[in-house]
Amino acid sequence: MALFGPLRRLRKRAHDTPSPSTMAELAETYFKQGQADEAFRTLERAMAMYPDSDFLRNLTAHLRRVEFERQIRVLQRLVEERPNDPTAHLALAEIYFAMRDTNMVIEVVTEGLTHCPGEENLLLVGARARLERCSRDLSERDCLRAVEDLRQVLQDNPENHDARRLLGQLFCLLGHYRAAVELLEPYVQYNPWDEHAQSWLTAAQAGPGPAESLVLEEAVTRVFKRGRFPIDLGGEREHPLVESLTERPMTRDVVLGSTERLKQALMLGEGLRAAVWAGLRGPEVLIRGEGLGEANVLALADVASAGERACLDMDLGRPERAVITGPAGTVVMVGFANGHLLTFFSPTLRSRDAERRVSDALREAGMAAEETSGA
Amino acid sequence: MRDILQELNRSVGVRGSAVVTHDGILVTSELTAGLDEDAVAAMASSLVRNTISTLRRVGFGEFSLFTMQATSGKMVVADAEVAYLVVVTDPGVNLDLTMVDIEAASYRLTKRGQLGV
Repeated sequence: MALFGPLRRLRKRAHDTPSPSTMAELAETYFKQGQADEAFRTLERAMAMYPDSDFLRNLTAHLRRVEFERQIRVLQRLVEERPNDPTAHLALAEIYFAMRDTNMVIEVVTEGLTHCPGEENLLLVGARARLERCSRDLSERDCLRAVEDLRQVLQDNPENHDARRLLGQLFCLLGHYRAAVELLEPYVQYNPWDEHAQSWLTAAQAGPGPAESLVLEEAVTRVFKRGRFPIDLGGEREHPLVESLTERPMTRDVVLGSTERLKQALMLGEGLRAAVWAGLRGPEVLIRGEGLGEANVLALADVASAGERACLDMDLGRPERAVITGPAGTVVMVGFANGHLLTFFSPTLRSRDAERRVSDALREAGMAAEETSGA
Repeated sequence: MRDILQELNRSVGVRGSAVVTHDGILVTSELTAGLDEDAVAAMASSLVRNTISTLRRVGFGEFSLFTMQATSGKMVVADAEVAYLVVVTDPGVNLDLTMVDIEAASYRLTKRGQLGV
């Protein structure tokens, strides 16, 4: 239902006479117009219709590579401009992680840590990259360094569950079962649905391991002699806001922060009733005030879908920001490459103030690099 | 009613406007060249209907103003009591300024609706 421009003709053609080439042409046009999300959605639909098409597969891979490279250039510039901002280093490291370039992840993290020593998220991403490289190359040095970094993360923030899970698993693999139990028990209590962690905990609880008495270096050497190191880095990435990186590249030059920091920043001050992150894996409640049911809060995500659909049909591009005001308060929506943040404020806060609160929180959480000014 | 929309469309950067009932039914529209009336009607109806139904579930009820900023344009849905006024603008428009014209149009629509004109 395009309203003007070449997209209308292409959409009609792809709809009336679908084929790999008409779908590809539509996707490429979206891509050239800066609507990479829609381009990849079109290609997904096309691949579902023509699963054996090498042409579509190659085009998808090519466009992903181009998009990744574009993002890397943007983020490299950002790192140069803001060397002391950990989120800039983090976003760049995450892009390389998504590309499975662990050497570059480690390089970026190392550089980031020289400017932001001890930064929790950088240490965690670095540890993950080292563990991935270590499971591939059986590098003892990487393994020991990952343990060191994860310990530092937990020393500064004992509540970091991702670090707890990784280090607990590592100790389990290395036969340091008592240390594994100490880490995994509270983790499993907090994440009872994590079946992998549950099984490591059960194994660790079964008794002292053969390497229990060995110092860490010896335990690593002993395990690596087996010729394999099956570390599970987890399906979940440490930043839910970059969840789409492995599936679909980012299309806006955003700098990503952690949802935890965003939650904390949003909760400063009165008036916020609910906050939802509507990502590609579905909506996630960040904050839910008293008297609001979870299902009702999750419904906020539908505002983003309705807005996105309307913008697409009107050829208005990607929604960047929306503000809805009414007697019951204000809803502020901010669009990112991989989802939308929706916040619901009570009527005690004026809509301008609600907008400002969201902007401040995003800035605080390191997510405001590409935030546009209010409508 | 069309005269109100025609006057509103003369504001800087306004591409078109429409009036949609609270149930999402198109009453009338005035669009500049390049905008497809059927498409705008369908979009405006669906946006109003979906947004209201979603907001009701959150306990928000009906809205008085909805502004949406996208990469290639902006959209405003303003409550005119009897219906919603939907306005589509260019991306570079300063909505703070255009909002004065939108509010004026909305007020005139409200008055006209109350008088049953």
